[in-house]
Amino acid sequence: MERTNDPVLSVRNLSVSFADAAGTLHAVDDVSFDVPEGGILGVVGESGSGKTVSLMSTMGMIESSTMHVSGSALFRGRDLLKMDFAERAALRGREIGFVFQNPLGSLNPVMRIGAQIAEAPLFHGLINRRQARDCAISLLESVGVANPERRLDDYPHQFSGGERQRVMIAIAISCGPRLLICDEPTTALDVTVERKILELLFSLRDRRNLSIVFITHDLTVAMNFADEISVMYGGAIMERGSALQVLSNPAHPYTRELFSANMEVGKGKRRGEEPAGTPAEFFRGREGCPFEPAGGPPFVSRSRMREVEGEPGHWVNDLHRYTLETDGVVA
Amino acid sequence: MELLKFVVKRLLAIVVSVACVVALTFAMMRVVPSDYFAQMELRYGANTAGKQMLDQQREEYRRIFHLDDPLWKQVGRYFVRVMKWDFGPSYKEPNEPHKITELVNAKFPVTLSVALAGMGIALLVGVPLGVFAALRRNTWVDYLLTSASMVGQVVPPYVLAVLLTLFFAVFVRNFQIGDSFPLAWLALPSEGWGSWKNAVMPAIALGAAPMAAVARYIRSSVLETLDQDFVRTALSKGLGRLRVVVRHALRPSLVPVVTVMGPQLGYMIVGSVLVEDLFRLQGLGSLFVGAINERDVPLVITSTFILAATVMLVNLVVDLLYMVIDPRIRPKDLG
Repeated sequence: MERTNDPVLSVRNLSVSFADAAGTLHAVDDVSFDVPEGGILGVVGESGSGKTVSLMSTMGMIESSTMHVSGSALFRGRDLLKMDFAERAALRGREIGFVFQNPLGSLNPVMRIGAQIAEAPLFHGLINRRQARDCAISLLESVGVANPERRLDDYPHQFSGGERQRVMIAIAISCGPRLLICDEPTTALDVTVERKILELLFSLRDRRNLSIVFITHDLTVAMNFADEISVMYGGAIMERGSALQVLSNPAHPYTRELFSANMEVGKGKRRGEEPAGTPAEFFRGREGCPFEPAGGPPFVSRSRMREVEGEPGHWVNDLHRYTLETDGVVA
Repeated sequence: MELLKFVVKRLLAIVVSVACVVALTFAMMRVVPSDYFAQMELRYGANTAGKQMLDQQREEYRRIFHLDDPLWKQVGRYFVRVMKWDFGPSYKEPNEPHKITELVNAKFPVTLSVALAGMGIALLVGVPLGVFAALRRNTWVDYLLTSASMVGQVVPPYVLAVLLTLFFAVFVRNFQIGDSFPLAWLALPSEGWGSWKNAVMPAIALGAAPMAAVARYIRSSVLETLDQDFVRTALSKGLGRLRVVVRHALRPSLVPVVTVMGPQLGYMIVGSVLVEDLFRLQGLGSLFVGAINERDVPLVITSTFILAATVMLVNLVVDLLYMVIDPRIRPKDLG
């Protein structure tokens, strides 16, 4: 894919930790990625890998007094991490839209759909009260909900699962944002509905010049859908590159395992040694490549990115190899 | 349509339940020790002649109030009259055929408006306080409000009534408003309902405890709602914190509050006796307590009827409110 412009979102050396009485929890460690203009970045990882936290913390969507964020996150040239609550709130909804996993729970159960859709443009001053209804109708139309005039006054529980997610997407694009953050948008949906929602996102990307971050645990979906892939595990990026690079030459054992897990479902084939625990357990105290079994030497950082030879833009976290080769040496 | 059916069904159920309550009261007033005449004797004492006169009167009452009829006939006759909003004469004034109706018509509005004003204060002050405490969770503001509401919940209305009276009396005296004793300004004229000012202190006294309860319920309910996914959606639209709470979290949070406050309104109507007494309000409370002490059977039965019907109607209104607050709740969910 040709990239003539700067990336819409450029995250560099992002670390997120939560300090409480029990100790410090390093949820995200030294993560860097770009969202290309008009492109789709797939962030792949299992639950607890830090994929959601790494996005939401930069957007001010996590409110925690114990959270500490460092690094930078440039959105169209402005550092999100240097903004206060009000500045980031002004961007949310207006320039950055969000689609979440649970469409029923993500819609206000006691508010009419039309009011929920028109709320953001009203709040950001893009339309006035008299335009709200027409605005909601045209948005519902553009996300493919039938009979929008009649559905406007319905409540979320009167919609089907796929329709609810379409409504969520209508809310997310209501102010004509540049960036769409989709956090597992199809996980709660049927496979057939999932396909249609993905097609909708694709067409919106083309029609509205959107850039999309697609957070998912499903590598196959990400490969089909995204231009760029970041594979995360234990709060660090294991591998990133274009979808083609990662698909044709997966450089990190975790990526390879994800592929084989997808292809060999039911055969019970796993690599010899399991990771030492669930990703959440890695966050406390232990440092080093999160993919390595416990007992390895402690490291200062969880990432040591190296560009794959002959493949510009394809990066792999080499920490696991480093661990093996320099057994016992503290870096 | 579905809603109309629900309301009609519930109203019918209320009629049946109230009838049962009244019939039960009829039966219980028969087995209760002592009667109207014995109470009269106890109160005023009586020599032999007086006793004879009371016995004579008792015989007369058997005739006037049809006391020898079977129970079902008495209950039936009562209901026929109630349909015409006629509660008949009381034992005290057997020669005034509409005495009880007049008393109810004059005093029920007083009790009801004080209870409603109390509930109004409870909601208008309690809800914002609860929301504020939720927004300032685990700060000193929150702790202060939470402890204050704990105190508010355990102070009985009659204690608060006395404190309020003292405060306002001293306040009024210090600021030299009029020469008369402040309480004379605060108390009602002996008949009728007078100015709205007279409702303020009783309403505060009655509403303080529910207000504290509302604040506590709203606080925890809002905090629970804030954890839900649609609040995250509201945040993702760029709305400010206060707007997220008021526009999105508050309405779903009201359901548990309505659950608690509906019956509270019933208790406030039933339990306003002491407050009415302290503020010299001409409400139903003191009338009914007097009726029970004197074993004035017709008045006791009417009081039971009024209170039972009010509480049940309030509960119906509460159920309708659920449906206003949460469109997912349909009549069939409420049974």
